[in-house]
Amino acid sequence: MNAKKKVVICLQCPKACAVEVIFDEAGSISEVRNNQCNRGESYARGEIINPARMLTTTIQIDSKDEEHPLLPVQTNKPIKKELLFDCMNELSKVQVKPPVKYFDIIVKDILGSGVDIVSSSEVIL
Amino acid sequence: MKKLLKKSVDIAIIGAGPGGLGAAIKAREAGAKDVVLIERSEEIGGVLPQCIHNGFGLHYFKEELTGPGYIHNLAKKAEKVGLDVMTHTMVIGLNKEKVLTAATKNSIMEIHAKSIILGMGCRERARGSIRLPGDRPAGVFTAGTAQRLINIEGNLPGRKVVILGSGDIGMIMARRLKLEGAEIVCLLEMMPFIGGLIRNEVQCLRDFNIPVYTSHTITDIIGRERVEGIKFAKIDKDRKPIPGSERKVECDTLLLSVGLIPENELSIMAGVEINPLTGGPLVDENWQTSVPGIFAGGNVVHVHDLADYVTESSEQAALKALQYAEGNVFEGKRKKVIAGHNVRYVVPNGITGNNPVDIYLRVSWPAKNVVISVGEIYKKKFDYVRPSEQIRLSIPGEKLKKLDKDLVVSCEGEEEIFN
Amino acid sequence: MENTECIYDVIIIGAGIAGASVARELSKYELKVALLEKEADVCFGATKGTHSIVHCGIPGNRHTPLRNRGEIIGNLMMEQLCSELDVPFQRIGKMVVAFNEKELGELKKVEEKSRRNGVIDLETITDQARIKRMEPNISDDVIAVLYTKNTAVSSPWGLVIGLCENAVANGVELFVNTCVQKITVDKEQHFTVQTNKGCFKTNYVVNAAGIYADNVAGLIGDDSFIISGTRQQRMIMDKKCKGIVEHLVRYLDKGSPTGDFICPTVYDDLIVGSKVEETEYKGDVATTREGLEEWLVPHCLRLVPILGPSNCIKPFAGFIPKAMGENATGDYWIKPFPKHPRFINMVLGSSGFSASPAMAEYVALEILPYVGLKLREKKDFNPIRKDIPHINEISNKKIAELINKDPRYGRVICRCETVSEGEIVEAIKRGATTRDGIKFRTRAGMGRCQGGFCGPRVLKILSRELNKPLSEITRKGEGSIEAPYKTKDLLNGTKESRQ
Repeated sequence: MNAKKKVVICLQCPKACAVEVIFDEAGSISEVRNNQCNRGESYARGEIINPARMLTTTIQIDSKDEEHPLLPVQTNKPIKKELLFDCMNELSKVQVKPPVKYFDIIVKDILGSGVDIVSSSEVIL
Repeated sequence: MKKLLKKSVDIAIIGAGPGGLGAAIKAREAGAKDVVLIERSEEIGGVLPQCIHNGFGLHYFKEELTGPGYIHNLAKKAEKVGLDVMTHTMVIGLNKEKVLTAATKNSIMEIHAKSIILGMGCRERARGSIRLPGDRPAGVFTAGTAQRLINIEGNLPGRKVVILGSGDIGMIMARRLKLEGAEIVCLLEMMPFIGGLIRNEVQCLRDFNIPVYTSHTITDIIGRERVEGIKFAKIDKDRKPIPGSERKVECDTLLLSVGLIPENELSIMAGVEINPLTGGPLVDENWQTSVPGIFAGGNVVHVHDLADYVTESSEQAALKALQYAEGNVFEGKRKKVIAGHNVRYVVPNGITGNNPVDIYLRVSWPAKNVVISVGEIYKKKFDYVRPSEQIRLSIPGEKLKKLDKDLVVSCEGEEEIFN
Repeated sequence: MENTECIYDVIIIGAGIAGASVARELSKYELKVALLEKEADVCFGATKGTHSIVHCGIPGNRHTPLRNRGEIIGNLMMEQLCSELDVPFQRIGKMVVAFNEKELGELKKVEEKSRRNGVIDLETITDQARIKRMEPNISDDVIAVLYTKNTAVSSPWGLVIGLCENAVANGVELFVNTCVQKITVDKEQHFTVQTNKGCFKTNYVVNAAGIYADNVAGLIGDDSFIISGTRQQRMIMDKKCKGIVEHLVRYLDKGSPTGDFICPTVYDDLIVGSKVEETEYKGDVATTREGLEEWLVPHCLRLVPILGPSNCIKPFAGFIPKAMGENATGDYWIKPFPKHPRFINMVLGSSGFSASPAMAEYVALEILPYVGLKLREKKDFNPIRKDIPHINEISNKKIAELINKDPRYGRVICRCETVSEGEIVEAIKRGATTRDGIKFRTRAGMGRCQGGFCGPRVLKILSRELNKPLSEITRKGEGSIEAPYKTKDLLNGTKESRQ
């Protein structure tokens, strides 16, 4: 099988090691190198096996208040990196009616990911 | 009737961002009765309501929050202590006697304060201040202006974007625009390294395969009415474009993320001395400026890397401002704290030696295996330092007891060499 | 608007300093006058890129009697005019410097020639202590200056806006976004001026179209001149530099038509000019790295060593037209087209701002009557115009009065220049439809952050007051939309916006 190499910049401390991960097409990791500590290794492994990110964006508010057309929203936990753009498209169709409280669930289990989209602000009527 | 109102208060705080808000809450918590928090905008939070990304609060609230979330949490604290904020109120005058003039929606006010906390924050460097040449079409924005348009007003500045400067807001806007469906043509940085935090470099640029050119700058902006493209080139050590390296790309928008400057129009008006290295007031360990009774906290002093530290430093300023308002005067001979080798600036700039002190600094150049020393009284080792990260040194009180000369803060280590 | 029925006495093409001055001059008489401007607002052409100096007639290389007359008389008229129109005006005086004996010799020649031309209140100063007292920050290497007391500064856009508002108040009709496409003449020498907004019939035409005056003249077959010109790159320095120089300080004119200068403005900042050069195309107002870094910065530092380039808040360039041709030598070109003498070309150029009051009188009171226009004074002509009240220029008591009448004067939108929402709304009432229109009328966005803070807020106010979506608001007219899409427009699932 063809071995692949990926450089992962470790974000666990200010050193920001460029950790090299060797893995095969099935995603099985054969080697992690250039890390200076164990935290670096596990971070790099995570970035290959299941890279996930917090998504923060906005959705449209369905209201006559033109001063505030948008509501900031976020995922309640990191979501698979590959789903970011699908989420954005999905959320572009969503409109929310005020009032909205902080951390209200806007979209539950978005795209079957197990992650909720929640409000990161408040809108009063 | 003309409305010219007068009012006397113990503490007046200018700006209700993460600094001013934090200071006002702290002052109330510490027992200050008469606190007025003045905000020019329609809402509290300063720039944070438009910073919808995460990465806030880990230090201060011990949880990861977005900008609006951070302000939500601060607002809850403010509610608890019964804090009133004067929004829509712009301070248009300030003097040494600590008299503020403010324009509000229904009057001009004169506020006489026993102590004042400056919390105006910072602003972005604009196109003109870096003398960016070319045509002057619509479509050139600072990253923060674009951020406000996109996240608050609901308008996208364009669909094909070049970003100049790798400050944090620039990188964050690269990701934001990309997620909203725009194309990021490239990001250019004049220095040989990225200017913002590594986390942003990874999660905003690398994650989205955004082309990055370090040691490059824009040599021309093209377009009469609206941006049509830019030319950029590699630059040499003197920041001069290298002949033959120039190329042209099409775009409809140019975002600038070329630095933040503390906003000190009011400080200067009041006669506060400014540190040319930070653009903010010179302060002592009590966060007091050169004008007794005028204190400063947060980005108005120096640009912090995280909002958490803005709140923290402003809280410290608030406690001192309260003591001053209660009649304590901060005296004593001050020794200077001076930026030495590979240190871009230090804060505070003067210390009495009577108290333990936190010294904040930024380095000029990335380096590894370094030792940062404060005169001969304090040393600390770091594996890696970079200009984007603010460094804090906590100097214990006993080390300062016999302080008898100025302190030079320097950073010695292996400085990175870039090709 | 189909204006086929009514016949104008005079149509003026171009609302820059030339056209606006003539319009206001003609508004003193019983005439039906229209002022046509192809841009979205007045003063959107060459005039906005001129420096704000009101010269007093020190001759350059190519001074003609007409231009000399324009400058000397214009300078004397300008103070009164600015006071009538509530436009800032300050006599600051000019110091032309000499760095060595050779240049001192040149200065003396210039002084002599100026005196012969009628320039008053000038002297050569060789007392270096006195020079330093006058300008403490001037280079120690300056050995002498030629000082003229009457050189002044004003605001080119402030004056054009004032002139237009006053002209309109006195009956002139102003049409913006109105581009002249065709001009025909009938047997009685009546002109039909065809525009994108309809036709205007008129007995007289004043072609004040600035850098496009040759194109307009071409429409009736006048090819006696073409407009070329020079680009002039400059820098605006932060108002914290106020007081670094108090006079217009400039180099001797050596080859460059304007020389390099540092000059205080009426708005407390400084202007540094000019890199003057020919460009590839007419109207090029781009700045260049070479012009800024290799010309303006070192020249500025040589004159005033403490005025470093980091104080720059805005580099910009103007394009100054000049009429060239068999008989046109680059100076003012103010004359009737011989074949149709009721068509009058009025091309000013470098220093046209200074000369504009005199040249407007020349066109209105000498040339137009000479080719047949009858002038009858308007009894109710009102010379006074009041500017928008600016809260950064008035006392706190006055601001409180304004806020009492309209609370929006208490809401500061532009923090660098302290401009309130009230001023911006008033600017829109007076005709601003773009961000630049707001900027020129109120200074919102002209300060050190260059609209970074107030930009989105100004767009929002424009959108609200003009009842137009923000995504249609422009910086300076057609093609310059600021934020063309709505957030989400570029994602699937929603409609795509314009473009």
